[in-house]
Amino acid sequence: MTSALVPLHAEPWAPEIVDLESLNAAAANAVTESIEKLRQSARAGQRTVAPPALVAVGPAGVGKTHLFGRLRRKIGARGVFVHIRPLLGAAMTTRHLLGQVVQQLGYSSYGQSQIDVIAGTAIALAEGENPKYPSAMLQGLRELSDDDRQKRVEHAIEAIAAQSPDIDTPYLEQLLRVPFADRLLRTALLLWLSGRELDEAQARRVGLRESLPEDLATAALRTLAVVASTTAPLVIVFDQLENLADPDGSGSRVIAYGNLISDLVDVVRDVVIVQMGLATEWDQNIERRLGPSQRSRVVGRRIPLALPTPAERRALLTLWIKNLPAQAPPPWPFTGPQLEEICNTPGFTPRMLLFELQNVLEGRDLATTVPAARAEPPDDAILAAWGARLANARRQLDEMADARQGAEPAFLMEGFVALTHLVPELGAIAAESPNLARLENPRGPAWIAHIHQANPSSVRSALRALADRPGGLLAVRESWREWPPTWRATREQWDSFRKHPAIQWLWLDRDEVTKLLALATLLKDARSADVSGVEGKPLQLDAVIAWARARLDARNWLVTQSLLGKRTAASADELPAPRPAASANQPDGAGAIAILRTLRVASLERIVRETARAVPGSTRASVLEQLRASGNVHWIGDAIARWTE
Amino acid sequence: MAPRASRSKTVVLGETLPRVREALARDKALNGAGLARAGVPRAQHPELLALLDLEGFERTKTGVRVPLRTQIKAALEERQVLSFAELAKVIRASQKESKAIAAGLVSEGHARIVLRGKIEALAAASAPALSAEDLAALARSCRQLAALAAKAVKRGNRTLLRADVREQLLDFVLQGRPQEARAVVPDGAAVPKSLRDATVAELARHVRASVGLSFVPDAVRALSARGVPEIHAALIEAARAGLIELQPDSGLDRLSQEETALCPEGPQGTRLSWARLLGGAS
Repeated sequence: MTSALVPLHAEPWAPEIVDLESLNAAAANAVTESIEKLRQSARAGQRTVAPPALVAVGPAGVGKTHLFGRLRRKIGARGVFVHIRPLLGAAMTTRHLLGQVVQQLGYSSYGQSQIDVIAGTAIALAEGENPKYPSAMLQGLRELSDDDRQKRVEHAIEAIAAQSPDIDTPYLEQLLRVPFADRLLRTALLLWLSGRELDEAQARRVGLRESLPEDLATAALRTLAVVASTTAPLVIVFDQLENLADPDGSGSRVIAYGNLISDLVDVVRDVVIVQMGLATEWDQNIERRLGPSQRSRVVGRRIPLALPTPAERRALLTLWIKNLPAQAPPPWPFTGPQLEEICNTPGFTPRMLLFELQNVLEGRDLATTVPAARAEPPDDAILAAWGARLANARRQLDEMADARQGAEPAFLMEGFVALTHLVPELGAIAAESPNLARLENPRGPAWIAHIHQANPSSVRSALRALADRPGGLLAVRESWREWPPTWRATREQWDSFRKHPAIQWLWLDRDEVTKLLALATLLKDARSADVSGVEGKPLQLDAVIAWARARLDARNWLVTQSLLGKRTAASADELPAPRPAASANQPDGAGAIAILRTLRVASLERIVRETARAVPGSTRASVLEQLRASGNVHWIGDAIARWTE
Repeated sequence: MAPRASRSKTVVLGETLPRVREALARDKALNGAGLARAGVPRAQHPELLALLDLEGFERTKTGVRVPLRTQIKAALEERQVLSFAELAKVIRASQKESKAIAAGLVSEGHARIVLRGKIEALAAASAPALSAEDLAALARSCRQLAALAAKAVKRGNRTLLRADVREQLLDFVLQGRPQEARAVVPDGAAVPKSLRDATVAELARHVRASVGLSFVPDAVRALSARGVPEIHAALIEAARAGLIELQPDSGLDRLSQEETALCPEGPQGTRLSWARLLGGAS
C-alpha cells in the first residue's frame, strides 16, 4: 500500500520525490559545495586539481539513492547528474562509464534535457552571454539559418578549445550538434557520443563511418566534464558499491574500480564524484583492498549519512501521511504508544519507518514488536520486487529499441552471471569483455558471446573472431534484431558460422532478455539490502536466490538449456516463436479483474499477491495496467481499488 | 566582473579592498592583472600591496597571495591527507616551498608527514595515525610475525591462524590509539565517570577511519568485563540522550556470530553494529 504513496526503494530518476530537507542536509551540502567550488575554479581557469572524491556510507534504507534525487531537484540546471551501479561479475570500464554518462545526459531532469543544458551553457559562455538561461540561448540559435548557426557553434568550439587545449575537439563538435538535431539524428549522435556502434542509416545521418575509438573514451569524458564544469558540472554518483566485492574474495573488481576513479581524478578532473555504499561492505571489502595511491584518490572526503532524529521521524511521517486519501487527527494511523515507539527507538532508518506506516495502515502490528518467528514469508515481497525489476527491464529495452539497439551488452552479460547463481551446474562465469564470457562448465560450451553489433561489417568481423576461438561457444543475439534481408554477406557468413560443430546459435526472445536483465538487478539490489521482506527487514541475498530458484524456473529457460548442452544443434538456431509479452491484455491481467470482482474492495498489494498466486508470472505492473484500463475499477487514492458494476 | 580601472583614474582603496579580498579568497593569489581586474589601477598597486601586507597576506614576485600556511591548513581541513605533489598543485606553489611550510606545520603539531606506499604525504593532525609508541610496537609485532611466518614455511605443513595475525596487527593498531581517543572525547570524559560515558569513550577509541563510524562490537568487546547486557543498555541510553547514533547492520550477514552477540538488537530484528558520535560526544 505504501508503495503507492512513497516508493519504498528510491528510484534515482523518479520525476518527483517526497523529501525532508533537514535529513542528511550536511551530506547534500557537501556535494553542493563541491559542485560550487568546481564551477568557480573552472570559471577562474584553475583546472589543475580534481575536487576530492566524496564517500557516503550508511546502512540500507538510510536514503542514499534518495539523496541523488534530492540533489537533482536542488541543483536543477546547475549540475548534470549521472547515476551508476557496478556491474555484476564484471569490472566497470571507462567505455561503460562513458556509455552510461551520455545515456543519462539524454534524460530530462526537472524539465530540461541535461545534454541541452551542457551545450546551451557552453555556447553561451563562449559567446560571453549569460549562461543561466541555456534554453533561451538554444532557442535563439535554432531560429537562425543553418549556416549562421554553424558559424556561431564553430566559434564556440574554438573558444572552448582555446581555453582547454586538452579536450577532444571532434567529440565536442558532435556534442554541440545534439540540441539542434531532429529526433533521429539526435538519437544517432547520442549513440555515437556514448561510444556505441551505429547502424548504417545512423552512421549516414551522423556522417561518421567509425564508432568512437575505445582509447578516446577518457578524452571524451574529459571533454564532457570540461564543457559542463563552468556552469553545470558533471556529478557522477556511484551507488550500491557493495556489489564490487568479488565472491572469490580476489578484490580484482575493487582494484579495477580504483583505477577507474584514479583516471577520473587524474585525467578527467573537472567532475564531482560521489560514492555510496553500505558501511560494513565499504569497510571490509572495498577500502582496505585499494592500494595507497588508489585510496588517496578514491577517498577524498567522507560524508557521514545520518538516521532521522525523533523530530525528523515525526516530520517524515507527517509528510507521508499527508498523501493518504483518508485522514484522521494525529497520531492516526498510529496509536500514541506506537508513535512514541517508532520515533524514539534507536536505529530506525527512513525505510523502516515507511514499513511501519504500511503495517499500521494494513491493520498489522508494528514489525518492531512482532517476534521473528511470526514474520510472514518473503514470497510476496520478492514477487513485488521482481515485478518492478521486470518493468524496469522492459523500459530499458524499449529505450534501446527506440535507438535501434539491443540490450546493453554489459547488462546482458550481468544477466548471464546472475543466471549462474540460480543454476549452479552452469559453473562459474568470468566476463572477459562486455560481450564475451568464459564458462567453467563441464557439460556445455566454454564461451558465451553476445553478437550485439549494429553494423553488418562489424557482425561479420565478430563472427570471424569467434569462429577461431578454441572450445565450445554459445553465440546469442536478440531475436528482434534478426539480419535484415539486405545483409546478404552477413547471412552467408552466419550460415557457415552456425554450422560449425563447436558453435551453438541462440536467438534470445524478448521475454528471456527481459528476465535476464531483471534478474541481474534483483540480485544486485538484494546484495545492497534493497529488497525487503514484508516485515521490513532487508532480505538476505541467499533468500532471494532461493526464491528465484523456486519461482522463476530458470533451469528451463532456453539460454540455460543451451548452456547445459541440452538443446540440439538443429533446434538451436531457429527463431523462437513470438511469445506474448505480459500486458494488460494477457490472462494475468484478466485474473486481477476477476479477483477484484470477488473481493469488491482490496488494496493493490493484495490484488497483486492474489493474482500472482492464481496466474504465475503476472507482475505488479501488468496487474496495475489491467486495473487502470478497466472502467469498473474505482480508485480510493492510489492504493485501494473498488469494483463498481 | 568588476569594471576595468582606467589608467589615469585613481580609486579609493578602502572601497576597493573588499573586492580584492573576495578575489583573493576565491583565487588564492592575484598578480598585477588580477589586481587590475579587481578594479585597482596599476599605479596604486604598491600602496594596495602594502595594505594587504599589513592584513597578513603574502607578497609574491608578481603580486599577492593568501599565506601558504593558511592555504595548506584549509586544504588539510578539507581533504585530511594530501601528497606533496597534490599539495603543490592545490596551493599553486613549488614543491620545495610547500614542503618548507609543511615542515613548519609539522613541527608545530598542526600536521604530520605520513608514508603512503612510495610517496610521502601531509596529513592533518586530526587524521587517525599511529603515534611513535604505536609505530615501535607495530614494528615489533611485524618482526615477531615475520619470524613466525618464516618458521611455519621452514617447517612445512604449518601455517598461522588468520585470527592470530589479525590480533597481532589490526586489533593492536585499532586499540593502540590513545591520542586520537583523547582528541574526540571531551576532556571530562577521558576518565569515564559512568558506564554510559565509558561506552561513548570506548566508541570514540574505535572509530574506523574507512567509514568514520565506530564498529560497536569493538567497543563492546573492550568493555565486556562490565557485562554485555549492561553495555547494550548504556549504548541505547547514550543514543536516546543524543550522544551517539546507532545504525543497523547492512543485513548481508557480514557479522560473525560473536560480533552479532556483541551488537544490541535494533528495530525489526536488526542488529545495531555501527555508531556515529554526535555533537554531545565529540
